[in-house]
Amino acid sequence: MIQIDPESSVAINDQIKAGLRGLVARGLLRPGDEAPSIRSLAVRLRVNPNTVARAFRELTLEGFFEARRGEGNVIAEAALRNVKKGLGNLAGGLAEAVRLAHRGGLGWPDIEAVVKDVRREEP
Amino acid sequence: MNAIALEGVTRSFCGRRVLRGVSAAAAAGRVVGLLGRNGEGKTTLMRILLDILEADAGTVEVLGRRPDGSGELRRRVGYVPERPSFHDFMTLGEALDLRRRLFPSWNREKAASLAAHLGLELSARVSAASKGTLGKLAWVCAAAHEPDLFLLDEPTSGLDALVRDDLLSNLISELHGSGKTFLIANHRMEELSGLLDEVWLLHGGAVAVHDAEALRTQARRVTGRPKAGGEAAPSGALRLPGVGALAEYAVFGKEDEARLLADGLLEGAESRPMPLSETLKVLLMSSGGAL
Amino acid sequence: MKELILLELRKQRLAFIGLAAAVVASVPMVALGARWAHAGVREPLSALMLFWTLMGLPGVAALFGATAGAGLRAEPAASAESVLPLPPQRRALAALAAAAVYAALLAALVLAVALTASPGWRSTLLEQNWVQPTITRSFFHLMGFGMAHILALSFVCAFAFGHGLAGGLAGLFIGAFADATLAAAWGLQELFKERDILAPGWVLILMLLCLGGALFALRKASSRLERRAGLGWWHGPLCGLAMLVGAALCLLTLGATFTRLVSAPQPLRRDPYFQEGREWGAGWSSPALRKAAGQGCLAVTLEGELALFTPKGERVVLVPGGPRRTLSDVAAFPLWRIRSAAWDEDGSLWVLLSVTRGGPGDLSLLHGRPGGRFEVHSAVEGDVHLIVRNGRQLGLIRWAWERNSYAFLPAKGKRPVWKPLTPKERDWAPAGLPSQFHADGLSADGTLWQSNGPQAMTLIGPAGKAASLVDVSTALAGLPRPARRVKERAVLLRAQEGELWVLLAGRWLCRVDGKSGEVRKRWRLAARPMDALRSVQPVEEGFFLHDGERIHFVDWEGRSKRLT
Repeated sequence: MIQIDPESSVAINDQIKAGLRGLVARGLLRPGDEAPSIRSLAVRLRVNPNTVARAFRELTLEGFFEARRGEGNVIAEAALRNVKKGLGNLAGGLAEAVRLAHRGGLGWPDIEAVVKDVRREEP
Repeated sequence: MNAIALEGVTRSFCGRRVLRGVSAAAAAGRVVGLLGRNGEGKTTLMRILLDILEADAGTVEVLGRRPDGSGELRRRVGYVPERPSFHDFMTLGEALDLRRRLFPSWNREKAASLAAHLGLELSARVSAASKGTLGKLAWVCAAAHEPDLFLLDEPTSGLDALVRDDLLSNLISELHGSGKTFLIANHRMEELSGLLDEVWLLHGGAVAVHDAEALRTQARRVTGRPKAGGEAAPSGALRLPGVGALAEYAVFGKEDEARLLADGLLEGAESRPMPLSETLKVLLMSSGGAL
Repeated sequence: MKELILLELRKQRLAFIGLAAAVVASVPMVALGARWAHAGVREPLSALMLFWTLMGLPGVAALFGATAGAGLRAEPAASAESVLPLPPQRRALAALAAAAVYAALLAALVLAVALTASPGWRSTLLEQNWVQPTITRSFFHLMGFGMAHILALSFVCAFAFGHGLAGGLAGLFIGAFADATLAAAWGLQELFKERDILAPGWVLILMLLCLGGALFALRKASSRLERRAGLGWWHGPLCGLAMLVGAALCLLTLGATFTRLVSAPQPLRRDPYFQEGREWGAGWSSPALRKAAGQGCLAVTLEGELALFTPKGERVVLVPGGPRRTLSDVAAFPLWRIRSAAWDEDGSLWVLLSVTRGGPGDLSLLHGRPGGRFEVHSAVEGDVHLIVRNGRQLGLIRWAWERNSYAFLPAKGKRPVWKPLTPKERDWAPAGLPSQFHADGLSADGTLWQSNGPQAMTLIGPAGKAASLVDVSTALAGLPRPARRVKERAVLLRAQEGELWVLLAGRWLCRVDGKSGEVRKRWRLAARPMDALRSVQPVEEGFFLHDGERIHFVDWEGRSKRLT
């Protein structure tokens, strides 16, 4: 399930969107699956249902969700593709950051320590 | 249409001015957190909104109506007081029954299902009920008559974690798609920080309104070594209690942050996002909550 | 509202059950106690029910009122109710109503227990063996009002203080004070029923003021229930004033009633029997005597002031009144009464005054001149009256069962010498005793007449025989309908130059033609005499009339003047 940090400086609806995309990326949600209902997700995450509704609207605009008649929101076919592309971008961005750090003077052990720290924080 | 509209509301008790010119408005469907230290007037404000107390001056409009002392206003407002009280010779079911007969819009099925969902034993006596049970009962009484406005005064205080969870889930369910407005006073804002649309900070008898989203995304904490001669806080930044030789500031928004860093007051300044609960504490501590 | 009252009934249930149990349990307890003390059961039970009624019921009213009032502010109910969608005034009213219901139920219970357990009360209430029916009825009215008043006051006080006991005592005190003074005033009126010292309408107004004041204070105080508005400092005193104004007015009323009672002059109720002698003949009532009698109207107050009121409106005091009497003096009724009075040929006045408390007893014969000396002449005993024998000379007649006696006026300081009165003493027998003739009255000009009902009268001639019949039916027919329904005899006041002045229907002075009975002129009197015959005294210039409270003088043109 997705995690929300209400204290974080990232807007909650962005966190929701990122969380759902992550689920699709990890294969836990597949195209054709029903999206969780706004209400149940809001209760689960302890957030304002309006915020969840906004996230869903934006995801639908993005093409992540499809509205199927009589079934509500459903993960779209294109979702997996977009997420994979997004992941690719993320991976590329991470590689770039590592390259910059190494060239900037951070040793490999230091770089690996950073990764370890973050992993510990974000399981 | 505004669910709540306050303009210049003043109220004194025995010569002591508790509210001085409170002005704020909440649009319908918003979730507003009412933040303030103990004794600052949160309960007074709620009682004025409930038409149990009359403001000495200023205008009050609740759901489009002015309070007139007749109690009609309370038909459309759901209230959970800080210390819920019921007639102690009644059972829980009788307490609900009494309110069913007095609130014209009471929804019997909703009351029954809420009570069942929260695990309330309707034949139990109020005098023998635990604090958690009374808190749940208070919630059912507040929600069952389908109010358009909820006023919750510390609805979860003193309740165990499971009961708190139950109440919050119910609260969120009420929110969904209903257009209902919530004004919640809660000391533990972390519980609610995911829900809030705006925050009303009650301090010194006045209310400062902050957008919750803005606070969440824009509040940052800047730490650094103060340069010699730099004591005064620049505008737009709040000086926080520092640790040892370090100074800390809270800033809201990229502009203020940039100004602080450019001022050259600090050496080696680091900037981190500030969690909402910390931001709220900072606002509470500072005088007037002004930015 | 019904919901609220049911809720309040539930809240106050305990007090009611406790008191009801006490009432019911007290009966066997007292019965057992009486039996154990080898005393009869009937009296103690009557006393017990008297206690419950006189002391218990007001106390009960205070208790229920105070419990309800203090209960409105007791936690947790007050907090629970303040957030319900009801105005605080309605909650207060519901609490008061519930307390009233319980008080009424308890009063009914006391009554029921009294009827079943006490034979004395049963005979009093059911068989209507009332000593004084009106007084008993008034008692119930006063008790009902008293309970309502005390209930409301206790409620407001307990609510305002937030304390049941203090509020109950305050309410009980104020209420009992008001009700006791009102009952005393009412009692005075009942004791002196023929007087008009207290209007029943005013009593009703006072009751309404008392209750209204309490309710007004309640309304003001109930907004304090949640301290809604910032209250001015004057709120408290205003409520206190509202509650006390009724009691103050009751006290003032008692004072005014008492003052009216003791200081309003009461004239002698004329009875021609004893004032005119038997012999009717020309000159029977000598002109000198009649002239003397025309000097005015004698009246005495309960304080003992004997005064003569002249047609001009002067008040000549013959015997000054004593100091204001206390309530207990007045209650031993009556105090001062003119038994009999007569004018002598020389213009002096003789008055028989009863000075002791009620009943035939000691009388004082006073003699003197108005404006001159007037003092006690001698003491007399028995049922004595002054009498004009032979139309000229004054004497005394004493009534005793089958032993009537007569006497001449005694010398000053001496007692009269009584001689038995036999049929032989025709001089002394007043008209109609034991002779056949009977006159109802003597007009201003000296005409004797006898009433033939409301529509006619017989004028009596010099020899004592019927002279002419006067028919006033046409005059009566000309009166407005409500007057025609009054069954009051026609009274002749004056016969002059063929015209008669008569008093019809108790209130209408008519000048009619002596032969035809046609009305020449008529006037409606401003006041109605208590008794058309006895409360009216014709003299040369007009006539005095007494309406129970005031003395008026009316001249022969119908103009009237209040003398007291």
